[in-house]
Amino acid sequence: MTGWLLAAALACLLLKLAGHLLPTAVLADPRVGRTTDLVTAGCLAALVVVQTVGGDGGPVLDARLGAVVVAAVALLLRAPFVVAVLLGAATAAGLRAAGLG
Amino acid sequence: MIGPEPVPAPGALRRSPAVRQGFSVGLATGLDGLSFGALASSSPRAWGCGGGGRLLAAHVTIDESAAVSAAQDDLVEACRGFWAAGLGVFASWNAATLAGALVGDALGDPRRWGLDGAAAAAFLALLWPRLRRRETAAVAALVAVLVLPVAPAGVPVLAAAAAAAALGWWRTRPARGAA
Repeated sequence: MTGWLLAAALACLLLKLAGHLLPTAVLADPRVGRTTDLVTAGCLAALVVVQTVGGDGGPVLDARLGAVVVAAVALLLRAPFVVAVLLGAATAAGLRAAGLG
Repeated sequence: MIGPEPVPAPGALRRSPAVRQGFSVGLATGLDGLSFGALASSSPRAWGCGGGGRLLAAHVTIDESAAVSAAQDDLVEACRGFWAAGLGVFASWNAATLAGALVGDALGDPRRWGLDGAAAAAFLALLWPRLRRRETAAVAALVAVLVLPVAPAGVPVLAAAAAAAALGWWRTRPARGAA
């Protein structure tokens, strides 16, 4: 198990290092810049979805959905990162304590 | 869910959501490294950016350090911002991990404390400044939702990343003179 974890960690580090070592010429192409920019946004959007409704056998709607909605409202009101995360945790915990989700 | 969990076999770990999600986050930050690498290599003599520091720089290349450096106007400030954010998050992240390892058992089920909700909120907060790419984010989210019920954990994020890459590649005009 430790071996797999180390392999995944090493793959992540090499991926990041590759970004730092790429020749400038590759990065001069605006297409590359735009594509990497969009992949980052796409990865994060997908991670929001998976973390919010992901379950063992498909999508599940529970307290996490409330957490994301509250965090979105907080971010709309220009709340800082930490505040949005704490509000998300408090919402999920509150909903569960109330017996929902 | 209190008490030790069964240790997964290697095959189970290969399907582990944590490993795949970690790799997806690694992919996203690897692409941050790409844009920061462009910045750093445009002036290798800039403060602490070039040369032997690159291995360490790669390690602390995360959303926060890439975003702080990208927000600066000149290169020296961009490098300072990169290291300040990168090392700052590195220190506090590991301190928090240590605290979690020491008192984590006393917490019991993390879901009771809404920690899964906090993780979802954190990903949303990271996505927030990038929502100018609304169309891509929407397409990626849709792909993830569609793939979620039919694929093993981790695959939805990778499929969404592939869809975003395809959008970026085909909808952007290639540089003049490039093939």
